[in-house]
Amino acid sequence: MTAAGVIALCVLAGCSNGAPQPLTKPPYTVNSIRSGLVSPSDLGKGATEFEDTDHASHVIYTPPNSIPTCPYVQRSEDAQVDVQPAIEPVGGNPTGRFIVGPQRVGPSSLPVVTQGAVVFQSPSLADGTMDTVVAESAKCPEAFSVLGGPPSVVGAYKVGSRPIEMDGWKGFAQHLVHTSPPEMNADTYDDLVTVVVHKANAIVYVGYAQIKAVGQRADTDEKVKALMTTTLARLG
Amino acid sequence: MMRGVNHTGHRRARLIARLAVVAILVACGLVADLVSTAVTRPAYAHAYLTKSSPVDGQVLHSPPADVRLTFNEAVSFNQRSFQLLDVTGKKLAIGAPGYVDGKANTARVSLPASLVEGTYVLAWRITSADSHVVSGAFSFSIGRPSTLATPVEEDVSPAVPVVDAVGRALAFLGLALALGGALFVAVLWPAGRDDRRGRGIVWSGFAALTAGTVVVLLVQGPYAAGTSLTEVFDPELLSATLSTRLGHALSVRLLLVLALGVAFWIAVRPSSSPADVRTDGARTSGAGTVGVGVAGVGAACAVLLPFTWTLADHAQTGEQTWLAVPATSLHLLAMALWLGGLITLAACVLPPGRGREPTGAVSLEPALPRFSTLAQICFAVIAVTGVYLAWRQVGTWGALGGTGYGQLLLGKLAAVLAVVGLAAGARRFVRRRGRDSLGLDAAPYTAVRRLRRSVAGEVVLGVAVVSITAVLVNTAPARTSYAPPVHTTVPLPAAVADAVGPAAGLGGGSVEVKIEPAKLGSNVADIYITGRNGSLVAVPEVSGALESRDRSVPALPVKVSAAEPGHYVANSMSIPYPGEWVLRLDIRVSDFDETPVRVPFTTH
Repeated sequence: MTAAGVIALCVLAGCSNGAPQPLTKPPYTVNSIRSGLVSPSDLGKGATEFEDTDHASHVIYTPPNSIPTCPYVQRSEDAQVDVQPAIEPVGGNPTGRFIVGPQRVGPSSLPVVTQGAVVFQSPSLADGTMDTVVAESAKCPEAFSVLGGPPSVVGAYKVGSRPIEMDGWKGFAQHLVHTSPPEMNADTYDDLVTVVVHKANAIVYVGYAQIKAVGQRADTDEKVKALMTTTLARLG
Repeated sequence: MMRGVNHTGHRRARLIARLAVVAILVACGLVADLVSTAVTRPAYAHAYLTKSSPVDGQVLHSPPADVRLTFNEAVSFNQRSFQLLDVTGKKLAIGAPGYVDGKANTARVSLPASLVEGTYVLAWRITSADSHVVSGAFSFSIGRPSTLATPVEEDVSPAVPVVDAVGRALAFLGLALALGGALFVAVLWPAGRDDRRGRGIVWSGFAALTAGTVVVLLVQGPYAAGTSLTEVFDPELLSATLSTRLGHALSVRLLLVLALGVAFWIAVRPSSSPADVRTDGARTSGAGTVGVGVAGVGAACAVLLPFTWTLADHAQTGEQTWLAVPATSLHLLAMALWLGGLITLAACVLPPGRGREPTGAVSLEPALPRFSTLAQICFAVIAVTGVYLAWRQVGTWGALGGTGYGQLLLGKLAAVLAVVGLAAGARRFVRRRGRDSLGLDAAPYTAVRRLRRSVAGEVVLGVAVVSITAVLVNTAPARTSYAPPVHTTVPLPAAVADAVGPAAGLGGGSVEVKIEPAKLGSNVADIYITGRNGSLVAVPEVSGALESRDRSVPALPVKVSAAEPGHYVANSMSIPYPGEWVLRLDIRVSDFDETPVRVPFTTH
């Protein structure tokens, strides 16, 4: 009877062993935080990974050791506010930037994930940096245009930001939609969400980019949240 | 053989009868749920702001003389309940708050005349009629809004609500030990009056009940004012608490505890004359008149005590208070009688080692069968009142799993079901052994040991239930906190079929709107404009405004930004209070044509 009671309690309380077991726990190190980043197996079959040691032509056009706050704005000619595209943290150890994606990017390919983390000596240092990142990202204009440069970045940008919380990681998800001028590309748009979250002594950022057909709904928000719910659970 | 068949048939009939009772209870819950959803409006157990002047986000030409806040129910507040902050977070001096025209649900705070152009935040922190503290803030601007509004920070010490919850739990446990223990020692167990351990349990219950009540009384002041535990003895805060409904209830509770304590002391005091004690330990009728009087006072205090909770908590706010207050009191009384009696039974009648002692052992009779009958009655009362109260505080199935209150309730239900399972086993022991000619005391040691373990398990689970209840009463009921997201689709007017250019293809299309979390405060609205084939269609511009059914509330502007083509987002749509609203969208489909679309929705 007691066993039955305990079982009933467990069932109703939602006891299960289905949740992924964390591989590490705070305080994080540069090595341990990497277990919470997206790996090729998280993204799907055909994904590859490489470390971006330079300003490669990927979706987050910012220094490799920085935390994104307003991607692409540095290429804009009409942004009315003075905002940095990224913050280079002081007093933190960056993991470097890693890109996970398909060999060839297209409307039906896997998404491209650009990610990294910064680990600090103490949670208070991480808190301070996150405050700076949030404040800078809040200045990102809702709309701006890029008139010159590589064809892939020319066009109109719409930006929106929402708070996000996953497994104790708190931060924001900044949604950026890039549409090319109609004469260049009227059929597709870039759907990019940059998530920056903070917990304990670490800040993790993930940029998740897809190419979507015009008329289709953007779904990067939901996809990146589902992906990061899995990856961040590994960090405990 | 026939006897066996009859026995099996009897058991089956009993099982069917029990299942029928469960089915009726579930059906009652379902019917009540459906009726409530279809007919009634949601009830809110905590106070919420229904109206403010100025309204949230309003831009005024000149500084208002005062700010007025109207709540859905009577609220109490003090000098520290309202704060006016400028954009830098600096607190500005304001007048003493008061009620408007004696209305207990409307507060007024006078503002300084020297307010300069910019945005201001009015932060409020008041005590609901159910004694829970709720807070909020809204902003208004003079001239034009400032670029940055200061975030409003809660300055209450995190230890305050924890100590408050501990005090409430202590009071619950004390109530159980004092009432249930006293009934067991003084009535159910004839030898109990002379049992030192039994009396000790009851007295510790009185002590816990008094201590818990005093803790809640002292902590309520800092809790309501949003300060720290260092101010628990602040005379101003204590005086403010004593003037509230909760303060009255706690004061009455302390008096009732005192009266009940005196009654219990008289009932169990050592008899002056041995002739007054019968051989089974019970008093003779010589105690007569005094005994009847003491029993009457004790019973009256026991019945009144639970009302000192229910007249100052969730039960007395919202709908059906006429039923909720007695039902909650009955629920609490039944819980106290069962748990207090159970703990005393486990500690005094079924202590470890009992049964090994051939002589001098405490007899299981008549205490165990009497308590078993009492427990059965208590469970019936707890089940019936519990189903009703759960429906009243939760309301919908979605709220059960979708809110912290609902999840806590599920946890409590799981613990209660486990208790019922254990109690059923103990009841079987009593009935089976009771039919034995040698009585319960002839039960083998192993059977008594199993019973003891089962009762110990019930005690542990019972204390867990009390702990969960203490957290539950401090949690906003699911009806209040549950806010299902708004997801609605409105057809576009036929006029848009004539649109040309990028908006061509809107004919037969619709506007889909999602609002989360659809409750007062900041919300996010996603607006999708789709054509007949379901694909998104971009338009030159979308602007929005929030309209209230209350004509005196001006339309509130809603800033809408573009996301991907055909998707528009209002990232910070502020809803000042719950109720029925209309999101008016002005959709520009060409350089010259604009079409309005109205999207009605309800917030909780």
